[in-house]
Amino acid sequence: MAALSFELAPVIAALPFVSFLIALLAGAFAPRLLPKGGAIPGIAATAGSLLLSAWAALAVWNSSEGVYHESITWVAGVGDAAFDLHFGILLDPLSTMMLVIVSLVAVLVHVFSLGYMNDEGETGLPRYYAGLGLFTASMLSFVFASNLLMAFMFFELVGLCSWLLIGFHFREPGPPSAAKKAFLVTRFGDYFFLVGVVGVFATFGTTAFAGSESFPHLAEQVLAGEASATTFLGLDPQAWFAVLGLLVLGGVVGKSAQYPLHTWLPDAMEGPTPVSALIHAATMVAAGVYLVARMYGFYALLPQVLAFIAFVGGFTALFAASMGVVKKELKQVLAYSTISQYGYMMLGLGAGGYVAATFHLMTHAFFKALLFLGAGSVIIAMHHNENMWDMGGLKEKMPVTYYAFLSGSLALAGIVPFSGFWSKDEVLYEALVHGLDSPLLLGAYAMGLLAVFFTGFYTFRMVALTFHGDPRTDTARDPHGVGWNVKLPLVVLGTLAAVAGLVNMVPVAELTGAHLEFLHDWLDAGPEALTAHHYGDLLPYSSGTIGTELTTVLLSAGVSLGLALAGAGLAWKLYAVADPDEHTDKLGSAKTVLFNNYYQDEYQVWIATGLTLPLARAADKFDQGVIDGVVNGVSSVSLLSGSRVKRIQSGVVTNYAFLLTASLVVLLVAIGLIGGWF
Amino acid sequence: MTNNTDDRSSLVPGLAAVALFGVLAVVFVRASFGDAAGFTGGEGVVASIGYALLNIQHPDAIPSEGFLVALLLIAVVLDAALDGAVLLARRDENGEITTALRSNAADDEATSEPVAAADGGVVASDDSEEVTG
Amino acid sequence: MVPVQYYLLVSAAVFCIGVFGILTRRNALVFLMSVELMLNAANINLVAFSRFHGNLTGQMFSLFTLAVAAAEVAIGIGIILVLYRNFADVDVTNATTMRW
Repeated sequence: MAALSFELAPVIAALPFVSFLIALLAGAFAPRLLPKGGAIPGIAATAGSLLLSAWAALAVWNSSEGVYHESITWVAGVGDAAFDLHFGILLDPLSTMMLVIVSLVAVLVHVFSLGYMNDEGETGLPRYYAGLGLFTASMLSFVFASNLLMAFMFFELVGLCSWLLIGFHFREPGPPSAAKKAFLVTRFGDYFFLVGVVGVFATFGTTAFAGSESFPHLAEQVLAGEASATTFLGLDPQAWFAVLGLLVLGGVVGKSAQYPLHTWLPDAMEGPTPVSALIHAATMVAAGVYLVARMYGFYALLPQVLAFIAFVGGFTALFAASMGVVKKELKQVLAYSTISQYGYMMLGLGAGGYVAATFHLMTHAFFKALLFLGAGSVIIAMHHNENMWDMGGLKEKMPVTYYAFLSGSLALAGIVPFSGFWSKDEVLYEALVHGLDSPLLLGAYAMGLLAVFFTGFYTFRMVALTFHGDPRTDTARDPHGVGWNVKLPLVVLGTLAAVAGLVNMVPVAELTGAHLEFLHDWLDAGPEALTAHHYGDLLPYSSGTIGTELTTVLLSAGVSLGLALAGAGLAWKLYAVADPDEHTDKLGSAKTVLFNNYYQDEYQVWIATGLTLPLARAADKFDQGVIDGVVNGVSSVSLLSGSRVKRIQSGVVTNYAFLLTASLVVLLVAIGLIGGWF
Repeated sequence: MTNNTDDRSSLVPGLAAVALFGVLAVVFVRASFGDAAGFTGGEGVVASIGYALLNIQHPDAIPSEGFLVALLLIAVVLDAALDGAVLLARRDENGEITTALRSNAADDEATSEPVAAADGGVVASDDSEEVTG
Repeated sequence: MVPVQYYLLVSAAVFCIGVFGILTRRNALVFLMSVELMLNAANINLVAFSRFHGNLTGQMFSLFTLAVAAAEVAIGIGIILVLYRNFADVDVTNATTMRW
C-alpha cells in the first residue's frame, strides 16, 4: 500500500496540471462544455491531490525510512567533469506536510472562487482556473522536488503563474502593472538563485537535497574535513558555501517578500482575492521559506548566513508590521501582515528554529488563507469596495465570516490558544534562547518582539473597523449576501486556524511535562540527514536560558502574549467604538512616511531611473558606438574594398593575361632574389 | 572575318612580356648546366620513339618509358576534340541545324517535311515548293 | 654540341613572343596562334632537356603536346565560332559579359 501511494506521488502534481490543460483547451475550443468555467475540474483535481498527499504523508509516517526518494536522469552528463541533471521526487515529513497544506489551501481556494468569481459574473473564467491549476501544479512539483535545479524550474513557474493571476484583470490599468512588478522584483531575486544553482553544481556536482550524494551532506563532510569540494574566488569552503547560501537566499528574499524585495507583494493585491489567498498562504510566498527549510542541512552549516537570515527576517517582521498599521484597505493590511509573518519564519529559520519556522509556515498558511478568504467574503458583501473606512458593523450581517475572520485574526495576532500564538511564540523562543549569546540574533529577536505589538494592533484595528461600530456607508448597511461556497472554506480554515497550533504546544509541554510536540516528532520521522534533530546538531548556536528552561519558555510566551494583547487592546479601545476616528493623524509626519511605505517604492524607482537607466544608456552607447561601430566598420571596409577590387574582373581576357604575366614576373624575381639566381 | 581593321590594342601590356623575357634570359644565362649527355643508343631517335610509343623493348633503343596507354588516351582525346569542335561549329538557321558535315542535298530532304520552327510556328513548306518548282 | 642555355633562350624568346601577342592583339585567331607559340616554346624545352639527359621521354612528351595542341585548336576554333556568333566579332575585348 505504501509503495502504491509513493508511486502515485507524481499524480499529486499532475492532477492540477490536467485541470489546467482542461481549463485551457476546453476554454479555448468548447467553453460550453466546461462546467463552471473550469472550477469543477479544478476542485476535483486539487481534492484528488489533497487525498493523495494525505495518503503519501501517512505512508511516510508508516514506512521505516520515512522517506521516498526517486529520480530519473533528465540530461545525462558527457565527459569527465560532467554531471547528470535529474527530475525527482523527495517525499519526507517536511515535503508531505507542505503537500497537504498546499493542496488543502488550493482546493479551498477553488471552492471559494466559485463564490468570488463565478457568482460575481466575472469573465475569462477558464483563464482564471487554468492559472490556478498551473499555479497549484507548479507549487506541488516545487514542494516535492528532489534537487535544487528542479526546484528552481518550478520556482520560476510559480512566479510565472503569479504574474498570470495577479494580472488577471488585464484591462484595468492597475493589475498588469502590479503583475509586472511582482514578476520583475521576484525575477531580480531569482537571478541570484540561478547563479547559486550553477554555483552549487560547480561546487558539488549535484544539487540533490537528500541522500549520501546530496549537497548538504557533501558540504557537511567538506567542513568536517572528510571530503573536498571545488571552491571559487579563492575562498575557503566555509566562506564559499556562505556565498552559495546567500545567492540562493536571493531567490528566497524575492519570493518570500523579505526586505528589500518586499515591494511587489502589496501591489499584488490587485489580483483576485482568492489568488491573493493562494499566493500568500500556500504557493508563491511560501515557496521561499520552504526552500530554506528544504535545504536547511546546508544553511545550518553557515552561521553567518543564518545570522543574516534571522536579522533580515526580524527586520522585515517589524518593518512590514509598522506599515500595516496605517493602511486603509483591508487587503493592504493583510499584505503587510503577510510580509511580516514571513519575516517571522525567516527569523525562526535563521535562529535555528527549524521546527518553529515550519510550524509557523503551516499555521500561517491556514490563518492567512482564512483571512484572505474572509476578506474576499467581505469584499463580495461590500460590492468590491475594500476601504475599511467604508465598512463597519458587518458583524451582525455576516456572522459566519465574522467568526471565521476573528479566529484568523486571533491566530495572526498571536492570542492564546489560537494557532498563531503557538508557532510565533516558538519562533520567538528559539530566537531568544539562541540569541542570548549573540547580539545580532538578540536584536532580531527584539525587532520580532516589537512587531508582535504592531501585529496585534493592526489586526484588531482591521477587525474593529470592518466588523464593529456603526455601518459607515449604505453598502455596509445593506451588504451583498454570500453563498455556501464562500462559507465552507471559511469554516474549514477557521477551525484549522483555531486548533492547528495544538500540534506543537511547547510551553504547555514544558509546563506540564506531557508530550505534546507532535510536529517536532513528525519532522524527526524522516531519514537521519533530514530530521530536525540532525539540524539541531549542525547548528552553530548554543542555547542560553534565563533562569531555568521553564522560566525562559514562560517568560518568552508571556512577553509575546502580553505585547500582542496590549496591541490588540489598544486597537480595540481606539477603533471598536460606534464611530471611530482616523487616529493615524496623531502620528504626524510619521504617518506620511508610513503611508508611503517608507518610500521604498520611490527609492527603488529612483534606483531604476536614476542609476540603472543612465548606466544602461551608457552601455547602450558603448554597444551602439564601439561594438557595433567596429562590426559596421569591418563590414563597410570589406564592402568598399570589395567594390574596388572587383574592378579587376573586367571580363577582358587581355587584362587577365597581363595580370598573370606581371604576377609571374614578380614571382620569378622574388624567388630569384631569395634563391640567389641573379 | 572581322570588321575591326585595327587588330592592335595598346602595346603597353606587351612590356610585361618583354620583362618576362628579360628575367628568364638573365636567369638562363647565369645558370650553369654542364654538358649535355646526348643520345648514345644504336638505334636512331625516330625508331626509338616508335618503340617507346608501342612499349616495345628493344636492346639498342634510346632509353625511355612506355607510352602505349598515353597514345591510346590521346587518340580518344583528339577524337573528342574533333566532336567538340563539330558540336561548337554547328548553328541554327531558321530552325534547321547547319553543320559542316552535312551536304545541301541532305538538307533539302530534311526541309521538305514540315519542320517545327524554333519559335513554335510551322515552316511554310508549300510556299517554298511553289517558288522552287 | 650546342649548350642547353641557347635552347632555353630560344624557348623563352618564343614563349615571350606568344605572351606578347596575347597581350597586345585583340583578334581571337591571333590569340590561338600565340598560344601555339607558347606551347611550342615548351616543346623546345622538352626536346632540349631530353637530349641533355639522354632520355627519350621528353621527346615523347613533346609529341603528345603537339597532339594536345591539335585538340586545343579544334576546341579553340569552335569557341571562336561561338564567339563570333554571339558578338558578331572575334575581338576578345568585346566579349566582356563574364565580369563582375
